[in-house]
Amino acid sequence: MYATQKNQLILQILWFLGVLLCGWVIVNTDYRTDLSVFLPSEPNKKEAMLLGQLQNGAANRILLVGIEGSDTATLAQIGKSFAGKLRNHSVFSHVLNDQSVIDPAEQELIYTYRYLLSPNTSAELFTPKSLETLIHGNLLELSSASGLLSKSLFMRDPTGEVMALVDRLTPVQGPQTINGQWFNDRGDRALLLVQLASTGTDTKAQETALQLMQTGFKDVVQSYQTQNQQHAQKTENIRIVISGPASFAVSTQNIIKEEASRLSGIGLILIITILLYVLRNLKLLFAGLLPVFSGVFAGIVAVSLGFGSVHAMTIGFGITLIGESIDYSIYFFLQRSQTAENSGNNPMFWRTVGLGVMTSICGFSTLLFSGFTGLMQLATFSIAGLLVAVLCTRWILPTLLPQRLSIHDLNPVGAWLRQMMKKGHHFRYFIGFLTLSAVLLLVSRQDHLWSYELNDLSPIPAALLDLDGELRADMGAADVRHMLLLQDKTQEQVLQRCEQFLPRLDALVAQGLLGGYQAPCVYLPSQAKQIQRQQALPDRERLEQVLQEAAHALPVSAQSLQGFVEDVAYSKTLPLLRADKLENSTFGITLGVTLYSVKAGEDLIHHALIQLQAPLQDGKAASLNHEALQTELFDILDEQSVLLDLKQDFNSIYKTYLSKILKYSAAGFIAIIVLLLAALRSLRATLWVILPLACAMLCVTALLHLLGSQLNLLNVIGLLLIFAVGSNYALFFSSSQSNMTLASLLLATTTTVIGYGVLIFSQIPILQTIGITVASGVFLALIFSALMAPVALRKDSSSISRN
Amino acid sequence: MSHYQYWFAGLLLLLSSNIRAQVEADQISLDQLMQFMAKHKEIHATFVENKYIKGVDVPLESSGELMFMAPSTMIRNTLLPKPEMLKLTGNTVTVERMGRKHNLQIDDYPEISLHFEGVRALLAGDVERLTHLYHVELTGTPVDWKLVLSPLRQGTALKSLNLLGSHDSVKAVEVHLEDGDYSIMQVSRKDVAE
Repeated sequence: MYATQKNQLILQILWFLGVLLCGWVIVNTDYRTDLSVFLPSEPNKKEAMLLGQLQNGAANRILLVGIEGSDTATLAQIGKSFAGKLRNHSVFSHVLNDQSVIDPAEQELIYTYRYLLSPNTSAELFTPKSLETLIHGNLLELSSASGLLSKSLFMRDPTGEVMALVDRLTPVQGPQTINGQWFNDRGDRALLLVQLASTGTDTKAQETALQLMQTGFKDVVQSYQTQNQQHAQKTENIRIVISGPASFAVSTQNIIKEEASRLSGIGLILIITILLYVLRNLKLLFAGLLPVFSGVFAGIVAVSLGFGSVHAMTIGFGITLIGESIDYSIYFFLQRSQTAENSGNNPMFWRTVGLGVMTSICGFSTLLFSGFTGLMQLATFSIAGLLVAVLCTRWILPTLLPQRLSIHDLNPVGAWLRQMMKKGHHFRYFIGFLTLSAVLLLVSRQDHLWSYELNDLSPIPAALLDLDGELRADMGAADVRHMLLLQDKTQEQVLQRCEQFLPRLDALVAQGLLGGYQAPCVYLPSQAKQIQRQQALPDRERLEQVLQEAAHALPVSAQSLQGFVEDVAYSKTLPLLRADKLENSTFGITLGVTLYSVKAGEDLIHHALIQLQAPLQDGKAASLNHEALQTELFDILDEQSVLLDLKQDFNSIYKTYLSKILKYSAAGFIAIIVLLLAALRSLRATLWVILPLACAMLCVTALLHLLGSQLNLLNVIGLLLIFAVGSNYALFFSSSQSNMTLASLLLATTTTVIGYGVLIFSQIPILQTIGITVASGVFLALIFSALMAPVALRKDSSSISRN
Repeated sequence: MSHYQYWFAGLLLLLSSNIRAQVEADQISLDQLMQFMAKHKEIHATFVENKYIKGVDVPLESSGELMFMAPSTMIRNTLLPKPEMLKLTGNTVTVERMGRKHNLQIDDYPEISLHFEGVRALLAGDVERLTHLYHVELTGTPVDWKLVLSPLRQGTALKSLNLLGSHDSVKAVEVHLEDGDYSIMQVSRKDVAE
C-alpha cells in the first residue's frame, strides 16, 4: 500500500511538473490571428504565387473608410477634416480622400524623371521631323483655357511628356468628388483610402491605428457639433465604417476573443450545471474537468512546438473538439460508482476508453492531411489533447479519488430511457422513411450540393465581407479579378519581365480586349530600361542643332525652348529612379501593391502584379475574356509569368483540397469501421452501430441542404466527427448495456451537443458550419441509435447485468 | 408675385436703367454695373480668344461657347482647335479633355482661381466677392465701361483681369500676366434669358 501511495505521489508530481512546463511554453507562444493559416500549406508553384500576392504586406496595409449617416455637404466637411486629422499622425503613411489631382510630390517626380519614365523616349523622338510635329501639336494645348498658365511648362516640355505621363499614371476610374471629398455614386457615403505605416502582420499596431481612427473621428464630429445647434442635429446618426485586411484581422480577433469567452462560458456553465446535477460534488467536478484542461494545455503546447505559432481559432475551436474528453471522466465516475464487482481497474473499461480515443484520433487524423495549416493545427491540438486527457483520466484521476464514489443514482434515468426506446421502436420505420427521402433529395440535387468557394473557409464574418465588397464597389476597385502575376529572382529582372508585356497589353487595349491595366513598371521602369532611355537622349549640341532645324517650320523660336534643351541634358546624367523615391508619393501605394517580395525559404522572390481592367461597354465594365487573353499572350506566358483569374484559381485550389479531404475522410471512415469490427468482433453488431450513424449523417446533410447552405469542406469534416463521436458512444454501449451506461451516454451526448451547439451562435462562419453539422448530427445519431437498437438491447437491464 | 409680374418688373427695370444710362451718359458707378448684372439668370455666348505668348510668334487662337447660370455656374466649352470643357460650379472645377474628367477644388488653387473668379463674380453681381479678391477700378460710361481687376494677393503671376462691356453685357475679357504675356477674349452674346 505504501509503495502504491508513493507511486501515486510521483505521478502527481510528474503531472504537476508537466503542467508547469506546458504553462511555460504557453506563455511564450506566438499567438496569431491572420488569415494565412486558412490557406494551403504546401502549395504548388502557381498556388505559391497566388498566396504571396495575398500575403503581400503593402496590400494588407490599405484600409477603406466610409462615413455615412448625414447629408452630402456635412459628410464632405467631416470627411475632409477627418482626413486632415489622420494626416497629422505618423501611423498613417497615406490618407487619400480626393485623388483627382496629382499632388506636388508627384508633379515634381513626373517632371524630373519624365524622360526616364516616358515610353516615348527614343532616338526617333529627337529627329527634326518628329519634334516639329509634336511641338506643333502641343501648341494647340497652349490655346486651351489654362494655356497661359501652362506656357512655362510648354517651353521646357514642348513634346508634352509631362501631360502624357500624368494621364498614364493617374487612375481613370475612381469615385466621384463632391466638394473636394470622394463619394459613392449615391452621394450618401464619403470615402477615404488610408495606408498604415506598420507592416501587415503587426496586429498590435493595426489595432492602435484603428483605435486612433475611431477616436479621431469622434473628435472631428464633436468639434463639428459644438459649432452650432444645426450641426449637432445633422450629425446625430453619423458613423464610420472601416474595412480592409487590418480591420478584418482586428475585428476577427476581437470577435474570436469575445466569442471564445462568451460561447465557451455559456457552454461551460451548461455542462458544469449538468455535471453538478449528476456528480453532486464540487471536488468531483474539478476532478472531472482536470483531464479537459490538461488536454487543452497539451494541445496548445503540441501546436506551438509543431507549427511555431498557435492560431487563436485553433484554441477556440479545439477546446470544443476535445470537449469529449469530459465524457471519459463521466464514464470513469460512473464506473467507480457501480457495484463492487465492477470497481477498481476494470481492464474492459479502459480498453473501451482506449478504443474510443482511437476512433476519435482516426477522425482527426483526416484533418492532419488536409493541407490547410489551420486544420492541421486543429488536428494536432485535438490528438495531443485527447491523448493527454485520456492519460490523465487513466493515471491521475484514480490517484485523486477514493475507490468508491457516491454520485447521483442515474439508474432511474437509464430505466426511463429504456422505456422510451421500447416505445419509440416503431419509429424506426419512420427513420428509414426519413433517410430514404434524404437520399432521394440528395441524389436529385447532387449538382447543387457542393460549394466550391474558398470564402467558405474564411474566418471573417459575412457581414464584414459584405461591407468590404460595398466599399470596394464604391471606390471603383471592385474588379481586380484578372491579373498577370510575374516572378523573378531580383526586382530588376521582374521589372524587365513586366516591360515585355507593356507593348502587348497596349495592343490589347487598342483592340478593345482590355479596358486598361496597372503595372508597376509604368511607375518604376527597370534600371536597364531607364539607362536605355538615357542613352537615347541626344546631347546638348545635337539637340540644339535638331531644334534649330525643326523650328524653321514652327512659330516658336529655338531660343525660347532653351529650357527644354537644359532639361534633356540634365536627364541624360540624372541618377536613375529607384523605388524609395516613389515611397513618399501616392504612386508608392500602387507600387507597394503591385511590386513586392515574397519569402521562399532563405531567399526572396520578387513579384510584379499587372492588374487588368475589363473593357468598358456602355460606360460599364464588361467581363474580361480570359481565354482570349490567354491565347493572345500565349507566347510570353510561362511558369514565371502567369495569367490569373483570382476567383477561378482560388476556387480550383479549393476544389483540389476538397477532393483530397474527401479521400482522407473516406480513409477515416474505413479506419473507424475497422476499429469497430476489431472491438465488436461481429459484422452484424458493427452494422447495427454504423446504420443509425449513416442514417443520421444522411439526414443532417439533407437538412443542411434544405436550410439553404451548400456543402463545403467543413461539412465533410463535421460528418466525420459525427461518425467518430457517435461510434465512440456505440463502443461504450456495446461494452455494457446497464441502465447506468445508458444514462451516461445520454449525459455524454448532451455535453457534446451543448459544446458544439453553442458554436451555432458564432459569427465566424466556419465555426457555425461545424457547430450546426456536429450538434444536429450527434443528436440525431443518439436518437437513431436508441430507436434502431436491436431487440436484445432494449430488454430490461436486470436481465443483462445478471448474465 | 406671379411669374408674369416678375418678368414685367424686370422689363421696367431694364427700360428705366437704359433711360437713366442715356441721360447720365458720362460715368458708370460700380453699384450701377452690379445692378445691371444682378438681373442675369442665364447667359449664352460665343467666344474667340487669342493668346499672345513670348517666344511664340503667332497669336494662338481658340474659340467656343460660354455659358453662365446664376448664381455660380460658369462653363467654357472650347470647340477649336481642341475640344475642352471647363465647368465651374460653386467651389468645384470640372475639366473634361481627351476623354478624361478631372475635378478640382478652387480653394486649393487660389492662383488659378483668380483668372476666372473675377468674371464670375461680376456676372453674378457679387460686389463683395470682387472687392475681396481684387483691387477694382471702373472707368467709362454705361454703354462702354472697363473694369480693371488687379489681384490683392501678392506674388501672383496675374497682373490684371480686364473686363470690357456695355450695359449688362461683357464684350471682352483680357488677361494680363506680370511677364507681359496676355490674352484677349472677344465675347458675343447669343441670347438673353431672364
